[in-house]
Amino acid sequence: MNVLQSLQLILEVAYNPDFMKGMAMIGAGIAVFTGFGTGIGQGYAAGKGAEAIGRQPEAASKIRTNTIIMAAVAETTGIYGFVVSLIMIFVVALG
Amino acid sequence: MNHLNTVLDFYIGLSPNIKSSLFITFLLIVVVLIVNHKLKDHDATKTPKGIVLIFEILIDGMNKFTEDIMGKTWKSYAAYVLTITLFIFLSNISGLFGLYPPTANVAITVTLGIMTFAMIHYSGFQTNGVKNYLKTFIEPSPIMLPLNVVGEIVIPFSLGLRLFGNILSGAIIMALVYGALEASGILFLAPFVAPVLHAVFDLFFGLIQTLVFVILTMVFISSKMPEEEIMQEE
Repeated sequence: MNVLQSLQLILEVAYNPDFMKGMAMIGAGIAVFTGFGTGIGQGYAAGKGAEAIGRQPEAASKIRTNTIIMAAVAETTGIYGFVVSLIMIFVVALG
Repeated sequence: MNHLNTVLDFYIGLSPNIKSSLFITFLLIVVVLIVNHKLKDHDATKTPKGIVLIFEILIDGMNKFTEDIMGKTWKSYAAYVLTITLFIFLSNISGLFGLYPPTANVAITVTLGIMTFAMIHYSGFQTNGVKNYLKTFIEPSPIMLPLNVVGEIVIPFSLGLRLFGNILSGAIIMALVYGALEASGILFLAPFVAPVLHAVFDLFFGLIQTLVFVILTMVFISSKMPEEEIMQEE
């Protein structure tokens, strides 16, 4: 097989709709990897919250509320990845 | 008659989320009108009862909550904050009543984000004055102008998509679990699984996301005010 034939094969593969759908599914899988950073961020927030309660047990209720809110803010990037993966699955692959 | 049919067709064509958002808005309007009517005949010297008491506690709590976060400028924003809190919270827990949560539709959440965006800049112009407020966009140097503008435009989408993604992910996980139960022929287990799932995804996440949306709204609004406006009087 010469170079031209292999190039043609690549082009054929690239414009194959089934291939596109499969790649979109893989992309959806990669997109939810943003959960990695979210996990680190939420764990950091929770750890610091537990530390603060240990240092100041009398302020526990206020710290708990703040920790939950900060964890929810840290969750944002993970949610963006989730939205992107949903678009990948339901608009690109199944749409 | 023809007009009625057009309206009905329009209603039927709407997506289920928008239908339940109409329902929730209508419910809130009716409840608020009832409270308003009761408050008019209410004797201020007597202890409030029933729905008036509930709303008094709500408004009192919201006033304190806004004051904690926004400092002394809280008064003009407490009403807006209570309104969006009621709408978002009722929307988030509406899965409990068999409705599609309106906040699982990106159109509604980004609309809420745009409302907050308008509020932020309205209060920014009002408290700083037009010239001073426009000047904050070219600080620390005019090179930062595009970055500042992009940072502002992103706010409604970040607020809206955060709420949308959280509520939608809960709805999808519940749909997956119910689908799995049905497919494996153990649907009779659903009454034992459903309370846990709804408690976590509807009530807990719904409450937290409401709080996050509202707190971020207040923080963004007060971040656009001049320093001396926010400082508490000692």
